[in-house]
Amino acid sequence: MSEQRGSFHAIVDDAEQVLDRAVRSTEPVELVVTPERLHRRNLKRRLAEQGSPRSSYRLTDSQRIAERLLRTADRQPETIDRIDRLKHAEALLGEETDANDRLRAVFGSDLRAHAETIEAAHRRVTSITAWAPARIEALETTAAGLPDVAAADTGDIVTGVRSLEQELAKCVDGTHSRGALLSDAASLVAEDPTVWRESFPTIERLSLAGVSAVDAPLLDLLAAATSAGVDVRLYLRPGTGPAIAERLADRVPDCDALSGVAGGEFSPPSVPTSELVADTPEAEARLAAGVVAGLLRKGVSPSDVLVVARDAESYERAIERAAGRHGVSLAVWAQLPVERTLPYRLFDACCTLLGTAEPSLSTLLAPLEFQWVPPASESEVWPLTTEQVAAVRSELAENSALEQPVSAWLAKLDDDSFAPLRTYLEWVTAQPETPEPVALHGTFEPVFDAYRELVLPTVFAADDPDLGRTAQHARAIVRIEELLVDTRAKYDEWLDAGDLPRSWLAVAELAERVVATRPGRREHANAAAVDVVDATDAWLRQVPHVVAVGLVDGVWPRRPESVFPSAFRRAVVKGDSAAARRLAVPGRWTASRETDHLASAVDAATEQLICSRYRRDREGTEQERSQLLSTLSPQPLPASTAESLRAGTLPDSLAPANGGGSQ
Amino acid sequence: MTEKSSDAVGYCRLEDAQADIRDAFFATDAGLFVLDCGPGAGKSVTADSIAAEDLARKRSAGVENPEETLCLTSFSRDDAASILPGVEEALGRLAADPEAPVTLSEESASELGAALRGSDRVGTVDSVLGTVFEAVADEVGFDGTPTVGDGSDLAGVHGDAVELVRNDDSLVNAFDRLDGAYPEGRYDEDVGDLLATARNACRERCFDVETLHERLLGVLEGAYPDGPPESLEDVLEDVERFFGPDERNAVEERLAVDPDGERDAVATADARCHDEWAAAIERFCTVLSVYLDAYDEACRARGVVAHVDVAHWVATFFEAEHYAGPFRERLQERYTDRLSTVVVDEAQDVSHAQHDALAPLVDAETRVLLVGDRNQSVYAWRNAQPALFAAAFEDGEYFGIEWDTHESNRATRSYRFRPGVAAAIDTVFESVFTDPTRGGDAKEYQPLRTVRDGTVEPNLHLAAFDGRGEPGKKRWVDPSEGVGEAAALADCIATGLRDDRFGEDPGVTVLFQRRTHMASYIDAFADTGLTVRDTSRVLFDHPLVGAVCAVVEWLLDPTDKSATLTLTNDDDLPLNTLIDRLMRADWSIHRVAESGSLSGALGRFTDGLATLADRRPTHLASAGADVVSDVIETLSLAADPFDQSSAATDDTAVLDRLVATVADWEGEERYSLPQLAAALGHARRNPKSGPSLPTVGDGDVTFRTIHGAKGDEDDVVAVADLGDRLGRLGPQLDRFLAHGQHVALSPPANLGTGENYPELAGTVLAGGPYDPDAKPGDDSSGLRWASQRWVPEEKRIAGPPPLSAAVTTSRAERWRLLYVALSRARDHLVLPLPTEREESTPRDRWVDTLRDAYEFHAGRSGSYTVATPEPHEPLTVSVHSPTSPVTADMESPPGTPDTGESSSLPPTLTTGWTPRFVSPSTLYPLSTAPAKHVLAHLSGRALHSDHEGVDDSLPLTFETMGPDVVGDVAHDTFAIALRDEVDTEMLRASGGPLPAAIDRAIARHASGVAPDEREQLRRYLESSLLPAFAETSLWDRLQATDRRYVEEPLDGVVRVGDPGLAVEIGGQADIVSVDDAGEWHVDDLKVTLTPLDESLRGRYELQAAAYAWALSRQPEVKTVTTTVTTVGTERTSWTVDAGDATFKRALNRLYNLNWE
Repeated sequence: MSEQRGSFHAIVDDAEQVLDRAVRSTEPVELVVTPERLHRRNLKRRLAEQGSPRSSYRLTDSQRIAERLLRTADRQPETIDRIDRLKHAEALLGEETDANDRLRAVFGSDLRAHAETIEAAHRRVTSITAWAPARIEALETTAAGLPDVAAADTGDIVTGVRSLEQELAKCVDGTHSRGALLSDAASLVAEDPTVWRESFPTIERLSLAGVSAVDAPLLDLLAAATSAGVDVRLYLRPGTGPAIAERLADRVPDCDALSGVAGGEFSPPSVPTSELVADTPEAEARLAAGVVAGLLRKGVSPSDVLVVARDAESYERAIERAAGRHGVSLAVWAQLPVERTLPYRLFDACCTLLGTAEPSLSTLLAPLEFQWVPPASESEVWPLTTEQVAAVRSELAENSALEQPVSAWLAKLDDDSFAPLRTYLEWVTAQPETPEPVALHGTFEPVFDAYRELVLPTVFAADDPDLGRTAQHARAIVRIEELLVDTRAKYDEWLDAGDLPRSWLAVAELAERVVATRPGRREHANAAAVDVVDATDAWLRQVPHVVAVGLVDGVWPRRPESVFPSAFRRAVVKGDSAAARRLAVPGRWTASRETDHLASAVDAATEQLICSRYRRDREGTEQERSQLLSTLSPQPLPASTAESLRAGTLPDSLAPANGGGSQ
Repeated sequence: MTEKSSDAVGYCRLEDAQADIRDAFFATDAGLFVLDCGPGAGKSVTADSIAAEDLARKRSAGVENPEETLCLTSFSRDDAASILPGVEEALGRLAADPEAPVTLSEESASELGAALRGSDRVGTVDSVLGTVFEAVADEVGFDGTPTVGDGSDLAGVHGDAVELVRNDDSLVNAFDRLDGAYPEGRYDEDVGDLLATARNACRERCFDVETLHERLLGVLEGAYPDGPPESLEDVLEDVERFFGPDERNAVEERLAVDPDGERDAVATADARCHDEWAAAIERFCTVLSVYLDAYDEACRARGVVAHVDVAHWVATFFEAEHYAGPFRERLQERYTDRLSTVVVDEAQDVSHAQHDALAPLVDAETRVLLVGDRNQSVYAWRNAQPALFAAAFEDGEYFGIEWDTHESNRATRSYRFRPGVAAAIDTVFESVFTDPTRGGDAKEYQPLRTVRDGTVEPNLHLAAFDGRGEPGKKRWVDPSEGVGEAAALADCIATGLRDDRFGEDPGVTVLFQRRTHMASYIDAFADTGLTVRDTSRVLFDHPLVGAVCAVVEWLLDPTDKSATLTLTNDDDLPLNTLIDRLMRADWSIHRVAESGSLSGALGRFTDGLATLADRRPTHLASAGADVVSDVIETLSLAADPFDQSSAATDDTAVLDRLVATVADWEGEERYSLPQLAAALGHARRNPKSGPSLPTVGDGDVTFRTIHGAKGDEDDVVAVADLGDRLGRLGPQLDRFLAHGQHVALSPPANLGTGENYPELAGTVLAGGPYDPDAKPGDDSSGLRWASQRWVPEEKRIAGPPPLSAAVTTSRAERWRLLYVALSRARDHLVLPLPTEREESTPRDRWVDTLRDAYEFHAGRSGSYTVATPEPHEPLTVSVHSPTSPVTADMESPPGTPDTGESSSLPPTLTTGWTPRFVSPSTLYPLSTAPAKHVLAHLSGRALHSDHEGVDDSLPLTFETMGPDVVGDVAHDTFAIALRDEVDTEMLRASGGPLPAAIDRAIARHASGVAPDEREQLRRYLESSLLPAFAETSLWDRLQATDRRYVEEPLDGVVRVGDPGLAVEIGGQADIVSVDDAGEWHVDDLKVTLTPLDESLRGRYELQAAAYAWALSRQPEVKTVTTTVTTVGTERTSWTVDAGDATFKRALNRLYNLNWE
């Protein structure tokens, strides 16, 4: 069956079109692909705010599309995760090969020590070329034009990671990366467009929105979709968009359906914009918190204020402390540091104890320190208090230097011993010494069920009205439940492959990798908290008052970074040659991405935009004003403004236009 | 304002020596170019201009990424931070000037500036080396790139290394002997400390232990030029040789009057000193050798290194044969092939280690520009090696290359000073820098030449004061009666500002060589109404910071009696009054808090401590910065509960800085509670090596240390605290001396003088050949060690030559420090000088040298002139004598920055809890019993109602299956029935696509359910639920329309409460449809497993009402009929009356909950 090719349009800085097209439909007719989960959330929220039906849309990501396509063709869609990919990469990089010698000249003698860096380089080449021979050739041509050392470094890296790509493909049963998954799906559809129709029979259009880069595997998939008659729309952002759009014709030479580039570049804000300057980062956070508190005191709803930063997490502590002094709660949309939560530490402490044949007193009692509670207990003694744990320690203190089996610790107890201690030690001795995968749930599920029943209410009882601690605790328990599933599955696989011993310590180590590789999203459940987000996550949001912090050179914009020589990076970004223009530009390589983020913040503000920065870092070194600020032409606010904000009073120049009230 | 400021517009045309060096630089492709630059002569301007022009020329010549060809470094952070703005400014000037020597567009200038900002080859020498080290860390044995410069971790590394060496069996004897030889004392380092000092000294100088050994023996030989003495005469000869004939006479006189002392005991003690000293050097170097290896291993284990280690490892990597290979070759090429220009600013401060580590990055094809000023070399105490700069200037040797092209110039034209300021400096330093007794080594002094015009008003202002007591002591600075140094200086500046004597709105900086009396100066300035911006105070000296440290230490074991006792005795926490109560409460903070016997600040503080103790589990899991933050907030420390903090600091800012500092320390890692306590404890014990206090706003006057101000300038500069005696804390007190090129280990401290040693009080031999008991202020430590005493006849510092040379060098640096201080002034120099001095010692005190130079005495008043060196005019000196009590004449209390944080905040806002997201299906239970359901809501778990359960009559068992599974499977199947155009018969018979749909639904929702229960479920669906659905009016109605939307997403954002919090409502309605009459319907189809009761009906109705509200907001929808249909235990259907009002009432019940 011959399909009529779909069209391929790039639109710069007009993502609102996506909002206008949503309708009611018995089946979805358009795939809306966004790279970030929060972007999908923002899109849904905007549609909800304007009361749009949205059943014509299916909000998804590219990986899920590819998986579905492969599944339709009875192909294996499972992709190994980064932990497994690193494991394979480390093994491959330990081999004596010519390709590895090339990498050693670049990275050093022990390639396994640089496995993460090399894996990043591998991902980068995947994103630039999708390993298409023509693009690899273009890459090599581009590299050859560089100064000697940069050319040598680039050539060696590409040769090395190309070999790695080939070896990974051989040794991995299934798909070894997102890039490979997308490329496989693209090839499949290119060869047989009916696979698309079978997979997405009602889909007429695919819109990619909110991206600062369109990598080669994704572009191949989009091009393939057009071959199945799907109309593709790229909604590009104002910083990176023009360059991406301009290069599309070179990057998809076979895609004759490419047409229509619309839209413009970043435009200055249409709302009043002001600039606040503080001395230090913490002083800036106090100023920003003063603005937020001042707006709230004027009657503005917390839902109508948004704080954005290039990296919200880096501001989290300072701005939360500052806002807290005004009684303002913040919702910082950064990753939840699961490894710093009590449930994870309890899990880790239990694994360490169960994996230690002769634990010391501190190892023995660590789970109690982290509020271990016995499964299915209703006793009010749990969780033990600090003083009770200290008393337990004291009871066993005469043996504090000892390292002995838990059974020996247990044998020391007598009738007068603290009963909960016996309960605890008996639980420990009841657990399997060499855990099967199923033991992860067998051991920990009841513990965390009990934890939820007994500990979470104590956190709730002691919490502030905004339930900040309770919400974080609850979220951490959810993450631990996910962690148990993920770790169990991986433990099972790795045991089968003989990659690790059957032990609790191995479980703990594996869980540590999993928790680091799959950091937990934080969810915020309080509508009264003011959102603090990464600027990019403000994409498509609309809020009357936006406070943009950290407009300091090197902070926002950040410096582009890469494992590749900067000369190569710039050659690709500039695209001065025909070869370079065939390559995808990774988002991290371009300063335009910083403009994308700023544009998201600027576009979010419907009433006013307040920008802030600091003059000196903590060591007193002068910090330069972000050059991005000059594109906003903000009104500098006098020093007296800062003084009144520190005092918690909003100056007239920042007062809400309608005197407050929700929007 | 910095040195880089200039009034010029357009391309900065360098002049004289600057222009010469620039011309030479661009005349060739490779070479060494050295500019020795006087103060204000445009060192940095020259460096920045040449760097900018270099970039522009390369850009013009088509060089790709020219910023990669340029390395721009400076020694200090402040100087390095000003590099980029300086070069960018120079680029801008080039672009703006059509007559510039190279054409550069504004766009190119901007691009080059931006590219330079991303370069890792611009910054401090340490930061540039840090980038190289990142590449080599793995090669030299580290597991990844270690942390650099973490004081606490490095203390741990050192401790680990010392422990390992102490436990080395082969070194036990040597270590024990060294312990005896160098016991710890109040002012003395123990052996561990000496090893650390020696390690640092070796690394900074690129010494191996063998070289150090030779150097130490060299000092010993210099101290005993004729070997160990055999007789008293030998000793006396050395006394005369080192300390002069007068001292020999003094010793001989004392010997003559002590009939009991044995003269031979002197030689015996001295010979023993020689032998034991030699043995100590041997042992020390033996132990040091093992210690260095242990230190490096400990660094690897802990993943931390010092800055000097970075330089050491970079240099070692490029030098040692066993690191040779393709990677080293490539790494070196990355620098040598690309770098064609290297600029080193403040080159006189570069250490050997830094120099040797940078050297491999440079080859003979490079152009190297060094700019510096030997007269401003004030970092020899931190191992700067100005000799390297001197060798570059004189001999054309640098970076290990003897440069074929070598150009050296000296720039003396200053763009900074008014002529009067230059004259004031030259009047002092013409004599100082040519006087060997003050470290001067110049045969001829080159006076400063100025570009700026002179002023009618005097530029030198002397603040006269009484000068009571010893110079530099408390009474001198701030006497209880009369006017001291601080008050005089403050009054002089305040008066000058008030009278516009210093010009319009001038910047004023007061410089200090030490912090000792800064507080007195702050008070004195406050008394005159001037606010002070003090950039020199350190964070970990602040009492509130100390309080946090103490509490964190306590939290390690908050139930332990000794920990609690330590807390209550802490100097930064006035908790002594708690002790009695704690004793009665068995040392339990909890019991004291619960007793309620305390009130006020102490009561609140105790309650806070009890709360913190309860949060121990959280603290054990949290990051250190979060623990610190929790301590601060829980104890309300920002409010300064015990009124410990000075009014001149912003406590909120201080505590914020503490949290940020701990966060910086932690980086990506997380401190455990013990690590946090250790790190804070280390910082508290070593406050000066930690961060400074944050400053608030701009004061009228800025206080800085002289070292901190190096490279900067200000309109008015005052130098305070001029009285201290040079060398009071000098090398004579060191056990391991390391200054510039000098290193030495003192003789052992445990030798004593032996029996019958003569009474030689008042002489250099009083305490034996080496007196280990010398204290700060003592001039001498005996015949064989360093001394601050003078040999009057010979105008030299006394002592053995290797050591007197070290002392002379260190004293010379103190004079250069004064030179740096005076030369920061642009327009006015203000100095406090006493009207009277009884015993003037100009060689030993700045104050006396200044008095002499300016011919100042009690008779001076108003203004007078003094002669100055050529080419200056006679210098007019203005004398300011406070005649009336110095008091503030300003209304606001001075010295109190506008912090506002705690005192004037409007009422604190309160934040309760309102759900951000609500599902229509859970709105009912959440809104009717929020406290009961909130935890499940926050956990993302089902909100079960009390009535939930199952009817016993159902043909289902629920051993492995939950009730929810029935509803989920049924809904999936119903959806298929609606989507796939199943007709009524097919639905009743469960035919067509339905069996497969049931299979899929069971596989999806009932994967963990036992097979027999799955089968029950299947049968129940087929036999009961699907036929029942077929009988509903809903089914009939849906059959009659094509416009039906199954599982239709319905979302909305609703504002609740005042001022309207946005609550997101989201879910999927089972069916949205439009009937033939155009009427919109929302239908919710429920599978009931129990009889319907009122609350279940309420739950269903509220859910449906929420969907109806969301649907009714959509543009094309006008009215909505909402229906609930149930099958299962109860088959019924009803139209829901609950509308928007019910729905919003439910939401409003959830508004701003406070859980009381």
